[in-house]
Amino acid sequence: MISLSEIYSQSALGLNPVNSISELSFSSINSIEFNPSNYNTIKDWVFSFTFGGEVLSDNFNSSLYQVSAGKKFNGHYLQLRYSPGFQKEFVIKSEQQVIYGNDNKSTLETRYFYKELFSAGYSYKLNEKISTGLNIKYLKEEFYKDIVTTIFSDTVYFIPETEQNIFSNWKIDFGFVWNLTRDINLNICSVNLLNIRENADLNEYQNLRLKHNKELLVGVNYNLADQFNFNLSYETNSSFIFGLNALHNFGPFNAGLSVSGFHDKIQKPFFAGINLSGLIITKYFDIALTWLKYFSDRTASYNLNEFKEQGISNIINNQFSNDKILLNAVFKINTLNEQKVKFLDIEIIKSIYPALSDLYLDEPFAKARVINLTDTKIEVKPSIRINNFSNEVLSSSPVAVNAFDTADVNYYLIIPENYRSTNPDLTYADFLISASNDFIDDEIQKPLLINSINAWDGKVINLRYFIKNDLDFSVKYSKNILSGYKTLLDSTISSLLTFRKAEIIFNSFVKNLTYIADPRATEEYVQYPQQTLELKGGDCDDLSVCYSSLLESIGIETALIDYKSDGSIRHVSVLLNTKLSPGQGYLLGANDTKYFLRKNAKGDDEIWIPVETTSLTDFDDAWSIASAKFNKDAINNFGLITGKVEIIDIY
Amino acid sequence: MKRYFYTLLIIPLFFYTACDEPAPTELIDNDSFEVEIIGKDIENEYYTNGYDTSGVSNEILNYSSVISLSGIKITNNGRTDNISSAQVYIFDKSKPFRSPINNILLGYETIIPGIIRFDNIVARLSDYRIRFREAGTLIDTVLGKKYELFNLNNRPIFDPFVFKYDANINFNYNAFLGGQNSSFEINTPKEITGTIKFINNGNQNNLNIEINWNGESVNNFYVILGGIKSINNKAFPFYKIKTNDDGRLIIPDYLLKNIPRNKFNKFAISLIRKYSGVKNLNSNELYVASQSVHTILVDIP
Repeated sequence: MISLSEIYSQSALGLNPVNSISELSFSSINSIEFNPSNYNTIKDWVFSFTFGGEVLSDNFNSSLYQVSAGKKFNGHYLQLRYSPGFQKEFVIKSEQQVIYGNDNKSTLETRYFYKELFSAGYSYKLNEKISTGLNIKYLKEEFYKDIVTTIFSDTVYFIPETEQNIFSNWKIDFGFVWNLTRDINLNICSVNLLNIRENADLNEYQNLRLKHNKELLVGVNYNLADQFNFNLSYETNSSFIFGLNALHNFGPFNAGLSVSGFHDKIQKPFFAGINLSGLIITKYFDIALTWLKYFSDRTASYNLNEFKEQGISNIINNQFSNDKILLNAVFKINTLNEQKVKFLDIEIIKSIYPALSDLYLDEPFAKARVINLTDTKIEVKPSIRINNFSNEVLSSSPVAVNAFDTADVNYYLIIPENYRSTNPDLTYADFLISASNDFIDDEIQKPLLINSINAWDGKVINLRYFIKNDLDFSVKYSKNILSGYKTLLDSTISSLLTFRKAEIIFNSFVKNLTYIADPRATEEYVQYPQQTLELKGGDCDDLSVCYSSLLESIGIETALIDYKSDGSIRHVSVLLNTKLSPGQGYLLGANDTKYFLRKNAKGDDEIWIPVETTSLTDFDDAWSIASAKFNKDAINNFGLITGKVEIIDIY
Repeated sequence: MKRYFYTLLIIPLFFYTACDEPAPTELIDNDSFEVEIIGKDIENEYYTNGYDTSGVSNEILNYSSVISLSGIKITNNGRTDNISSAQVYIFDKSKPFRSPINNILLGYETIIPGIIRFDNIVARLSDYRIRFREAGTLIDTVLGKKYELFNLNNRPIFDPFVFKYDANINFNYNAFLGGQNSSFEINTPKEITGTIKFINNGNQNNLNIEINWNGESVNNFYVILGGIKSINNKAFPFYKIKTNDDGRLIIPDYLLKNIPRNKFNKFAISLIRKYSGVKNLNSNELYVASQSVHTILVDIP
């Protein structure tokens, strides 16, 4: 919403067409006259110029009024302005003529120049509500007077000279802006608070200097509706200005009108003039065409005595100023990366079990809720960096978010292959979100517990990861065992080969093993096959994982039988695929309760047999014990149907 | 970014080079005047312009005859003396008088061809004398006779002639030996009375003189600013300042600051309101002037 801010009618009328100190506005660059606090909504760099001229009868003298640059950084704002057009020149046609002799006449002329050459502004945003600042101006007053000097020597004669008096002024003012709400702000500023000026030695020039009465300016800006604003400024010398501004959005740009009227105690009539502007406001530049019209007749010449009695206090707006037509342009350059997306919340939904590496590729371990801060749809890229875990920043899939909308973003994880910590690690994770490739829009750090490499979440289905993780070791181990039974295997019929291998491996595998119940319950710790064989023992999970891994490593399909129970420790045993068809079941013996049929991918039945790895006697016993339990719990007690028994394929 | 930046530089540069400066506002100063130096050699006591308290100017050299009527007030130290003066010069143009060294025309010899009366008062004859300094030598010469009437403060010891302001004074000429007689009225201006005031009189370099008088918007009005020499109390004119008869003039500081204070102790400021014209009489050009003069003498601060 644009707002017309304070214009000092008498002391400081700026040439900014729409002077604003609110959020969405014609940039208040070049606002030093009316915005001493230098409040600004600029984001980075801003440049501006004002070009135009005074209109008088059929003359139009154009000039470059000002060129400005501003920069915002870390809550500070600095502006510099060069204003070659901020000058007022008076020429006194005195009709004082000098006759030098031989009727050689010359007319004496006096010129007064009032110039504001440079100015600088600084502001600082104390918080979201209050901003303060100051501006400094450098002015020059130059008085040139043609005179003649009489030389009294052998003869008396005139010589022409120009008397020159140049005075410099520094003027400093301060101000505050208070944003009561998004739609209302108040401002209070000084006018001519500090003046550092060279004093004129001569009374003649003292009376011609710019008036610098100290005043106070108080202003209010109120957004009556979206893109419609009213403003009023009052100066303690009874001057005031009020204005109305209206903008309409046309998609890529806003366009509108601004009108303001002003009164000061010197200029006549009561409303001395009006300021009409047509505006175009875009993301990168603002342009305005302004007509400043005075209601009294303005001429090219005035009486000198009138000037000497009243003087002027404002170089560009005084009783001797003429109507103006101005072109204002502001260019906004943002080299900074704007924050486009922001975290609202992050939730870690899965604990990290390094053994279950594949799990985090398919399912997110954390979810974040983000908000798009821009007015366009963007794609946000989540990534994460975990201390002491991975050297890389891990990126997850980008997500599209609509303008000003929120969305959920998933964070996935890649467990480093070389991660082998046997202790849990409480570390921290940096959750990052970006809308562009080279800028991180938001970042939140959260503590993260990384479990040890043997940690297990208690889900039997995830024992697969322990089984598959150690296959390199398992295949060597299995082949090593089988190599000792080459003769036996060579003499075994091919259809029984799988069964025989499973038998051989089991019998070798259990020779040196001891069943050890996990004192921390079965849900926390699982040994890898190599660990089980090295430690020569484990619980049912460890032994099942080990045996299954040994079989899987040589191509024997296995599954885990999860005997869930209510309250007591669950149990796991192994089911292996003999690759025998139902018609070949007799090869396993006459007891058909010891094997079970399962369909393969083609839909053909195959014989699977259960093996109780904790029996640690021999294969036959293990098979018998497992079969009896399976028959009882899974089939007779309808365990498979009720879900109390579950078969989980490794692959 | 670079292209954007260069564009930002070029646009205002373009405007700057394509721009004029804002047009000035003219202030009209009603204090207009035209100043010229009339006393070019301060060692001269009486120069060809014939400046003296009678206000007679150097136009007299251009005409065959000159009639000059003056009502003069001289104010000095709060006291004002009134002088009525009538002078007539009839020149013999065949007899010019020039300065011996520089051959500057200083005047003509005069003739007395008849009797002249003003308001029926016969003008007496007196010496027409000029004084000038050339090559350091003061020369005092009588070029003949002039007709004259003079009265100071209306005293009976002087001629019974009284200059009447804003009135008509009759001029009558009776020629000797059969020449053509003539008689006509000479219109006189209103009496001028002025006051002066010093501005910034604490500083010689900033001293201004403000002159006020009863303005009558007469075309021919001027002020002669001169000084009184310390050594001999003689008047010497510096400037003739032609201005409007509007009642106010400020003589600026730059005309006053270099006047040598060691040679002059008083300013002599003469306000002169003049009616003048040329009459053709017997194929001769007769210059007729009547003026009201107020001369104010003040110490130089």
